[in-house]
Amino acid sequence: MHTEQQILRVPLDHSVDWRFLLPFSQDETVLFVGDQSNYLKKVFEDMGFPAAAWPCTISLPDVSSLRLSQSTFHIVAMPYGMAADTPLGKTDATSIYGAVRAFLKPGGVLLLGFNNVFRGNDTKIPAASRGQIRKTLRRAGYLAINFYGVYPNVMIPEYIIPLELFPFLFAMDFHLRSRLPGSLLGILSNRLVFTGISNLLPAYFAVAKP
Amino acid sequence: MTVSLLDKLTAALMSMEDLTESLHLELPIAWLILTNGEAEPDDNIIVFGFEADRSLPTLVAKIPRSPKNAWMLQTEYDRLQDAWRCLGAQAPLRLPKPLAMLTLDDQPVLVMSYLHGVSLLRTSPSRFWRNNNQIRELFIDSARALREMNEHTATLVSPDDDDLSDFLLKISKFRELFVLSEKEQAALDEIITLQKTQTADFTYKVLLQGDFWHGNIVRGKPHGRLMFLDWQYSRWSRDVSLDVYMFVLAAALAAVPRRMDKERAEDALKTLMQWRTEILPAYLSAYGRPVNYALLPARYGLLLCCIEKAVRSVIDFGSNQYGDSVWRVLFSKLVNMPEGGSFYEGI
Repeated sequence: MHTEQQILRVPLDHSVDWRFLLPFSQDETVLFVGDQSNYLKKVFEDMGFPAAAWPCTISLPDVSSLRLSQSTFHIVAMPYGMAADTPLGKTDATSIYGAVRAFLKPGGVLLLGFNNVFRGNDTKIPAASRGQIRKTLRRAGYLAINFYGVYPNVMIPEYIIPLELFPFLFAMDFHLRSRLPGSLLGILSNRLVFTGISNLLPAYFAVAKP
Repeated sequence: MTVSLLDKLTAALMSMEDLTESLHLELPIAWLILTNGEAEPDDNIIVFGFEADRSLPTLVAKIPRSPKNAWMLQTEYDRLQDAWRCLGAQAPLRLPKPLAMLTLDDQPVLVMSYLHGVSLLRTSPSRFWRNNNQIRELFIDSARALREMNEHTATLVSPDDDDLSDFLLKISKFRELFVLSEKEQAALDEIITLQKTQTADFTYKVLLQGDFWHGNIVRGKPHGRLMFLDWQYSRWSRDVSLDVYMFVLAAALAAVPRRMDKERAEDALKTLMQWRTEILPAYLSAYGRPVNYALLPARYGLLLCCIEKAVRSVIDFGSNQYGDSVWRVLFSKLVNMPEGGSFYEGI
């Protein structure tokens, strides 16, 4: 009996577009750390990028016994941060990022996603201000740190925004269907106002190099 | 040293002398990523490139979510080049300029100029679709712009041109995927006959946009003319019906609430009937009757669009995309239209 067909498949995760901030290629290796790392590993392998996973069930002392500790990577990605209710999440953040740094090849890069501090702990994504993350990463040995604004969240971002005035205004105007009144655009175009507002985005990605 | 794809993109563009000279590109370029939220896995993401202290982007880069979909961007790049060649001085007023097709980190990237304007999708909220005067104006404007573009691209067919086999593949996939009534099967046979007899006799082909709906149209600033985006489904064809009728069906679907496929298709059909008296004739009249290339009668043109949209993603990507199934339902509704005779009469 012939029946109507819907050809469906398990979709590639849409929310991995942060990969364009990173040097993904078939020659670069990546380690995913934390929540959903096994899933992300599968997604990237499906796309042809070699990947490894460091799931959130392990704790920091386990790291030395991992076979993975023998390897280093061009990229370490924690796009959803480290959930607070996991063994790693309960560890001091500086220690985690420090341990992660040991997995980076020279010139390697860390991606870290986090919610803005005002979102509190209403999700599994850790919340912090950009200043707090910058301070923690510096303490862990990362010297070059760039931030990107994320809207509406790091799980399914719709915009990944460089923290510069005009791209930010364009994204706002685009999102609001070109309905921002000219007077408001004028106010927002003030660089001081922009600096304040850029601290109020719901989430961020940090891209950090030792 | 690891360098991100976006940094490599900047470096690649800056190394292209003809490009930097014509655009006077100034570093640094800040890239804004529009990831389109929950868009399909087989869609592209859009990256806007801002030169230092410019309030609007200069560049737009398209990157497929899945690197295997490079062919989509190559099609868009090639067809945009065709269109620019055909449109000549009109091209900057109608189309993004294809600037480069690159492969960076095994990832295809299409770079185009940014079109400054307001998307009709963004200026067309639900209240727009309740105002018949606005709808009529949009339809007429779009029809005229489409016709103008078609006339510019009309080119003599060559012996190698074969748009029939692509069409037959879609019909065959439609029959394979769906359980069709005798009436529906007969409608498919009629379209095949029309394409094999009448359409095949035309001696000119035109460049179809391939996804001609208001969401892919921008009203340009400051000139106010309609400009056309998203050429990834573009192709040459003797038959312009896909573009002409896709605009109508997509508008009818946009004008009704997003509900289950059956209800949505029924609502869209009611909308078409409301538009039948004034809006559809005005639209078709504004487009006019081409002499050198084919435009199917409305019944067959509308059905052809449903077939194309119902099977396109299965053929191109191997799986359905969200919203495909409404086109299959709409096909059925259009075939079984209760007042089919009077609806299709004269159009």
